[in-house]
Amino acid sequence: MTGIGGIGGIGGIGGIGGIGGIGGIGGIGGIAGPDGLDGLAGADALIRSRDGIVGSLDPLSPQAWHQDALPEEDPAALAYWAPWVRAATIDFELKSRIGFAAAPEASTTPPPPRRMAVWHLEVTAGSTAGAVPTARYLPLFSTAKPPETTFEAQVALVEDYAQLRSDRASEILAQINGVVDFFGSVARLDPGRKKWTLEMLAATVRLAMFIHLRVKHAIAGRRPIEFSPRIQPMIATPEHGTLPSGHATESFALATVLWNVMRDSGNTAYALTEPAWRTQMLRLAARIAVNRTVAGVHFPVDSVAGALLGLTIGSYVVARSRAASGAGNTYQPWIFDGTSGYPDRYDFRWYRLFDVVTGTLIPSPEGHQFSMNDGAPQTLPAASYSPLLAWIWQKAASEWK
Amino acid sequence: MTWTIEDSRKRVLSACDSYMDWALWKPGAGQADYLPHGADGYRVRMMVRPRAHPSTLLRQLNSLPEAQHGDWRAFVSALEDATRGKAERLVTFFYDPAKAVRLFDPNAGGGVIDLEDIFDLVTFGPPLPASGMPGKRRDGMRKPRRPAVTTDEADAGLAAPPRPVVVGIIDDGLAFGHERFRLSATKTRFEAVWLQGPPDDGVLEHGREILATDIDGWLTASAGDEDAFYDLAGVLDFGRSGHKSLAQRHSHGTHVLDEAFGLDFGAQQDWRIIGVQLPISVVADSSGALLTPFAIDAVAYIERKARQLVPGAPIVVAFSYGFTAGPHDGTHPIERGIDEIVTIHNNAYPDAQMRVIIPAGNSHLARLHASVHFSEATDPSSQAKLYWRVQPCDTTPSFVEIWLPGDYDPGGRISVALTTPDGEESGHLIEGENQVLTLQRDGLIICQVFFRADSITKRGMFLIALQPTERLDSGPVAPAGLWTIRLANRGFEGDSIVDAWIQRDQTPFGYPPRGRQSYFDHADYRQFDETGCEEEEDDPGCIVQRAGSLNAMATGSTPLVVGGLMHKELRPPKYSAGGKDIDGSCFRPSALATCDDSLVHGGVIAAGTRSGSWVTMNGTSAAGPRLARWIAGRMEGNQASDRDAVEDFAKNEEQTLPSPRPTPERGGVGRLRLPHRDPQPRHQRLEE
Repeated sequence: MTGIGGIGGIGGIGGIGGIGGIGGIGGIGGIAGPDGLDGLAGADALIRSRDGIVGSLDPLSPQAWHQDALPEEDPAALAYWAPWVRAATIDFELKSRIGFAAAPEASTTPPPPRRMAVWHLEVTAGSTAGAVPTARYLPLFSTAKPPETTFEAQVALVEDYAQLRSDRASEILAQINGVVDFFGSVARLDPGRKKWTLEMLAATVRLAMFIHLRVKHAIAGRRPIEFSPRIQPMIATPEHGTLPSGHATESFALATVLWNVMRDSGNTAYALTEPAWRTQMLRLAARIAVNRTVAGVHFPVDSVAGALLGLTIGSYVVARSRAASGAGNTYQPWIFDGTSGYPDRYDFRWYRLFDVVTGTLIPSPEGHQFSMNDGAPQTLPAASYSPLLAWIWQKAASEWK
Repeated sequence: MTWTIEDSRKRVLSACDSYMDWALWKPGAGQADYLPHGADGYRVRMMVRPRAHPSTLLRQLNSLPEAQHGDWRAFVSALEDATRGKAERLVTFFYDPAKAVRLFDPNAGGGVIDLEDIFDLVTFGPPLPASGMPGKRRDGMRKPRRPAVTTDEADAGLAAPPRPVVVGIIDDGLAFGHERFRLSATKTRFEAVWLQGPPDDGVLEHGREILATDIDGWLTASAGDEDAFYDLAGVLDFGRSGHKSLAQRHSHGTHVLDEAFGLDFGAQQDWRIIGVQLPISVVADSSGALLTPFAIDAVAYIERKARQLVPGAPIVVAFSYGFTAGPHDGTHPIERGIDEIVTIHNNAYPDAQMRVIIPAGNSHLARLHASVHFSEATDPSSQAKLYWRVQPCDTTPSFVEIWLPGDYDPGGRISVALTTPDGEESGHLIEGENQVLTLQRDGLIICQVFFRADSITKRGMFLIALQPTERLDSGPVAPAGLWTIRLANRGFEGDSIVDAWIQRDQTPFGYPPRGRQSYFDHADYRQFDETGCEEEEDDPGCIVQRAGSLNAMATGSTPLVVGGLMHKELRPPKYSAGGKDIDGSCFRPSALATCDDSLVHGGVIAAGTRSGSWVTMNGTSAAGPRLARWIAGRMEGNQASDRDAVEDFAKNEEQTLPSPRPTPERGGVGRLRLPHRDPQPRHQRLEE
């Protein structure tokens, strides 16, 4: 075939006027790039190279045809798949077990706190083969929105934190789209040797976002800029609700998962009895959260709610990912109740909310009733165990030996 | 706009700071800026020097209308409290600005007490919110610090422990929890900190006092988390509006304190820190000229606390602060106050002397000083003109002080007149006449010029006060641009020099920008040399003079004044201000000390506000601390550290250094190549 721009035109495949050439399929440089085997030029190359060597279709020897079956539902197969496939698979494991229910609007006066609840889905396999599994929800985290008067009172805090904008500007800008690199300055997270840890952290952040965006919709908190013309944030206010803070949620979830991955390596430097590493990560998460208030896009109470949610999500991911052993699979469901017991002008300080020595959240911090456990700790039974998560978790933990 | 000259009721020979004419007394053109929230609920810190004992003052009751008797009794009582037990004549106390105006305003007329009869010096500070109860000093009753630390060597009887030295700091943003100011993880080197200004705890006249036991307790409770430490100390409360220097990475006071007196754990020196943090409103004031009462309170506090907590210890204070306009002859109220406290102390405790170290200032190239030479032969009808460029968007008032030589002459050797940027000329305000020059537009005062002769020194001075050139809300606004100040010789006898200084009008370190510095803009001022560098030497033919730009609080008899030095090039940095050659006057720095590593590596490294952080800062504020450390070392070795000792040391150091040698006006006796902070490496700190 000839002709300008036709298939196989001037310059042949991929050349000027060839496939993808001027006027050709895909236009200049179009679908058919000059590199590799993508696109039509690549497919044509593969077609032609097979044509050239396939030979007659005599049967191969039986041995040449034979392959042993890959084990089904094998966690180790995760290593074969592309990273994006692995991510989607892990996301399924995590997100399929998350439920949400908004409490109905109350008709009593005064109305009780309207709790927006995030649930863990407990699945029990049927007793006979093919039977439908049964499922029930277990508490994970619930939030009640602070009254508007709390947000109004907190405007003064946002205005006062603004004096730090110049001081924190470089951090705020660097943290707009992600914070992993900052955690990578505390513990080494190079892609070469911490590949599985990085995947685990990315999955944690995706889960955190999956949850906090749904909660943000339910809470529908107005951002600081809506309460005062003088906030004038130094970055664009994101287009989702104010509470809980996404940065706080993700950073605290990330910190929790990271320090637990490191701890599970068995390396004594990261043992539970040694708070130094997790302290630094939590300080970093807190600074990232406060930076959002400095920037003018969050209230301190958003960081409180976000930190509590993030710490809970983090410990939940850890509980689900550890090999089924009982104590290691326990998480403590938690409540942030912004209605009662949250003093209007209470500022966000992570160390009032979380005990870094024991590695647990503090109920009723300083006597205030806004942060408390939701019933007893939940130990996830074997049915909630995900071999896939456990496999990645183990791979990640062993990177820290 | 119209210029008028009106008679003033205020006496020409006056004890009162001319800034009070602008900010307090009727018509109070500057009152809206001085008291932006009104006078109610505020108190003003005043510093005065009474002519007689306050107990004699109640006699004046009869001259007052009955409605003011209560105000007068309250005033005398406050004055008696302030004077009680003090060796110094200069005293500070709070007074209600509204009552002050009622009682003392010379322009109010009728039945008013004349301040000039009672005091020979009156000055004031920025308003502070009035607290519920005025604090009576109870600090004498607080628990003293734990006993002195002794080294292991001392315990073993091998060597005498170093002598304790009290090292004082007066500044903004003192990170009193920082590891560079600790003996160990949970023991501070601070003896006491006074956080001046609101909030008040009722222990001192204002502000909060923090003692070593408080700091130690917080260090233990916060377990290494410094944000938690400052939360416990209550200085990082974002629910309370106000500038929080310690929330920033870099604060002026922490850098100065570390450079001067910072030590690692286990260092041999026994230096006990007493710090005073000035009120935010004083630091934020762009003129820097309202700090006198608070500064004197601070120096007095350090002196008193040192005697109480570390008796017998010598005292060295780093006071890295400054402003630009003043008499430059040692008689500014703040200079008097410092000299008085230090002199009384040193006479009483010759073996435990006190030194205050003040920077030379950074205004060498700021074009804030002009010097006009009048001779008898000058044609009386000729005028010297000062071209004063006032910036747009300057949200704070601007001031010029014109100081006359010798005693003022009621006959009037000189007159001052102004021309607006649009060319509207005023009449002449004559030295010694009891008049005020005023510029008005639509009934609002835009500019005023006052004449005053200091009641102690008899020296005359014109104060030119100009409204801001921009306001967010309505109010009097002065036009920005080139103002002309015309000085006319009406009869100087012999050669006379008239000095004009523009007052500082700048944002202090770390604060939001408000003031914009005005300057003298003369065509014959050579700003750049042939190579394009900023010209650092004066042209004798130009009346705008770099010489004499020295810090206006650095000409007293007791402080040690330090100019800056580039450590590598061994030259003063271009901004380091110098004095003038006036016979017999210490109107120059004593010496130069490093404040820039080199021409291209500006500044010197010292602590940021959090342990483990380092920041760079330049300026003569960073030079003073370098000398202060040397002084502390001299004191602990019982060696001389007075001005003579410093200048001897500088003279000897200077011999070892290559030329060019700085001039005495700029460099004092010589250059000091002192090492950077203490040489003990951090990793050798001892564990607790």
